Amino acid sequence: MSVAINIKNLSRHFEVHDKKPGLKSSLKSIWNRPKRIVKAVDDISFQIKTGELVGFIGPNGAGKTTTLKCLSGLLYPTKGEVEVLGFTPWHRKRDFLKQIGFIMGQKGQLWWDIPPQETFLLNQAIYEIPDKEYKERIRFFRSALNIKKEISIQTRKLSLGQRMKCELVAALIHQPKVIFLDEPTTGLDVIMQDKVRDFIRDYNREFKATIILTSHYMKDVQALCRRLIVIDKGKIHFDDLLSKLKNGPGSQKTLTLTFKDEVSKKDLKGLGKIIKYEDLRVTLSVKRKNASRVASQALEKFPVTDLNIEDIPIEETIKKLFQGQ
Amino acid sequence: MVTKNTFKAWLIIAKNNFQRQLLTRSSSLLFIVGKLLQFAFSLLIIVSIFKTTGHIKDYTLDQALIFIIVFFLVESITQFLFRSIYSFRPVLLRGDFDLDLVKPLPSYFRPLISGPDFFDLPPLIIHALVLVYLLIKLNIHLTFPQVLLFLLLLANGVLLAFSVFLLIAAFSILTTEIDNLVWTYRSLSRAARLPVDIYPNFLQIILTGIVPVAIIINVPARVLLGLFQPSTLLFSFLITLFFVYTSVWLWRRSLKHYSSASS
Amino acid sequence: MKRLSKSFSKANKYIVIAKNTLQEYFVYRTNFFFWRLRTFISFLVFYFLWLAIAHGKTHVGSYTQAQLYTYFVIGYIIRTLVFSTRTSDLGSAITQGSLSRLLLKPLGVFKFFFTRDSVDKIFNFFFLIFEFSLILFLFKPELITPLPQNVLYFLLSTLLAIISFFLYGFLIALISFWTDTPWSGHWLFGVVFVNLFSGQAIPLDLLPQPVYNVLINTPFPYFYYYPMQLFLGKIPEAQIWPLLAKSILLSSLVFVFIKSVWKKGLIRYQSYGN
Repeated sequence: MSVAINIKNLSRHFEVHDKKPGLKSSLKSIWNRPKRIVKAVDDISFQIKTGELVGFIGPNGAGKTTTLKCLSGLLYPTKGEVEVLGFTPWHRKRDFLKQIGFIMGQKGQLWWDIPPQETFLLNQAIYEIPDKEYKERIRFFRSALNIKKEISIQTRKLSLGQRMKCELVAALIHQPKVIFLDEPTTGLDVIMQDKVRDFIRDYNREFKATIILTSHYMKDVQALCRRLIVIDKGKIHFDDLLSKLKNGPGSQKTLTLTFKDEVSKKDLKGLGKIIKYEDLRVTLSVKRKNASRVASQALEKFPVTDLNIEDIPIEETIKKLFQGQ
Repeated sequence: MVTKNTFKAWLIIAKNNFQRQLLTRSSSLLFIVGKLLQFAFSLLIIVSIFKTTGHIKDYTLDQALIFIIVFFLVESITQFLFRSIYSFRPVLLRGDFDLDLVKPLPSYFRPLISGPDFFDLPPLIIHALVLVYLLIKLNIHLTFPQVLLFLLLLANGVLLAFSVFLLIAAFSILTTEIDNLVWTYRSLSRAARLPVDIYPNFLQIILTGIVPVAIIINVPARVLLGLFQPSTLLFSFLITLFFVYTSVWLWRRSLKHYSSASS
Repeated sequence: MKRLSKSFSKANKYIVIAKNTLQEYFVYRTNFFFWRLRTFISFLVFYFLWLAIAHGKTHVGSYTQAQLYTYFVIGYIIRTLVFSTRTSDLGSAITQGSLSRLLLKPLGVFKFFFTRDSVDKIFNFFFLIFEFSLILFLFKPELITPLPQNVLYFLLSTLLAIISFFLYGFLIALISFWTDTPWSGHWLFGVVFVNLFSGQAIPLDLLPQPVYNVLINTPFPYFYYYPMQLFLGKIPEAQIWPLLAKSILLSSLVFVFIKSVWKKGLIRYQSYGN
């Protein structure tokens, strides 16, 4: 498979001005404003193959969006090399721009006062999409996203979910080969999140588009991505298959047992690592492959009234990763 | 470079704007009323002044009227074409400029030409009609080459205005705080309602070389009145060339420095 | 004692508003600088225009050269103090729904904006001192020496102009309750009308008589034209106090009007649930 995105030693630094609260410091700031260099992205490298769907996560201010902006040509890097589809993004070549799409969850491109389809038509002109293809694609989006009449209703009158669907259409109408999805599900309700996820998965399969997805919701990543890149403070902390994440969702499960009578901590020790211990309830962490054996052991040995086996939430794993565990 | 898709996008935006304005008809009506009121009142002021004084420096009322009408004509043309510069700062602050930069459009599309406004057209047409009416009324006979020359310098002025606005857009990106710069330009451009040589030398220099409203606005009027030397025209083209070059250079630099609202 | 501290804390919140407003200016200092520059430039444009008009003539209409220059140079004080206002912020607060945040707090919206406007004026005043000295120093304009009582009338009428212009601006901002696009109303009534009809561009009595007769029956001359006439001593003694009284009456009427419009607007605002 060919490489769609290639990043080598990319750094992006920002100068920021500090301002303390208060009138006095405001007065002071007239003469000088203290400057500070923030390394939003600090010497990162990775490659993404054509057609891959990669999760790109990290806490707020980790450098996710900055990286995406460098990849889409919005930012000039301070250092390093970037190649996307064989182009250097910040040269902003037309042929490059025609092949990428950037969806920013919190920022819409739809015109507020007129129906979404007017924005689609505008993008049709901008990306020079022939009428026939345009109509086909609209048909595809309408069925894939289950869009009905919202396409011809004033944007401002749409619900957030409906609007997001239309934003997706506007951003993908030119069928980009590389898509940057920056928190596409933020602010959506659970049902809508699922729908957007399904759509992204289908789109990736249907069109073999290369997709980088950032998200606050680990569920997005879990549901969609095989590969995960974790970034924090501008540095990459993890870059591998999701299943290889140490103590990750693949390797561990939690076992929650509820007892009729109290069971001492000591008796439970042999089963697995105790995460939580309450009066009549205990939560254990066990290896995936042992989970069912441990469960049957517990049922035999103890007065169990309820039993629950779950994957460890990926949030926990990531949190540990950031805490350096 | 303006390509076919840019032009098509421009037309669609113009259409969308028009659609949007039809939703706010009363607002648009107030706008047109205001524009025409400004126009009529400015003419009234000039006439009133000449009624009491007879002349300003060496200029007669007829000449002053041509100057001021050409001022309004050029203003309405540049407003119509480059209106989006006024709304560029919020676009920039919200980070919405990003959404346009990832599209295959010229980078200056959003700040300068993304907001053609059809409600600038009625005033524009009225200004043009009043100009024609006055030329006939004042017995100013223009030959065909003169009309061509007028249109050429009008185009030169529009190109120069484009460069000035591009400079302003570049400054906005470099500092992000500027809002009033374009209004500063507008305030200064009002000085060109009348020929700038009625002002003291330092002001003439500013209005010709630094904020070249004398060339954008005055020179086309001079062509109509026959008040020009060939060197005036040559100088006008040179200034435009200089501004186009400088503004493109600074715009490129500012884009390089462009950092989005959030990192 | 308790009452005193209560009224102090009442005043206190407006002091905090004032302080915060002032801080905003420092954050957006470039903006403010350009706002001042614009005021300065519009002044220069008018000043030099009238310099050219008066060039080589002893009189323009009933004005001597010195009177004409005074009309514009002293008028710079009015440009700065009367026409600087933040009331248009209220308009955007209404359309964007951020008015709700204000309404939730135990604040008087009217007082809130009045506080901000006052800070605005004080802040502008400091720059005025500097810029005015600059004008006197750079251009050495030939001005008249006014009679002391005329200066007094001028100051009084300027103060009244500040109040009535604030009220007028507030009233215009209230249009936003009824329309989604308040900018055009603000622009037409708050900018175009004021620029054209207040006398900033031309002493109104130089206009044709019928136009003049109409204009002096509008509120606009009270913002600029009349204060300057008082400064120049062009208003007969007997008409001065009636003029000032009219100005006060005008402000009171607008104030009463604002109150009822505000109430109606608020009901509309609340029922639309912004």
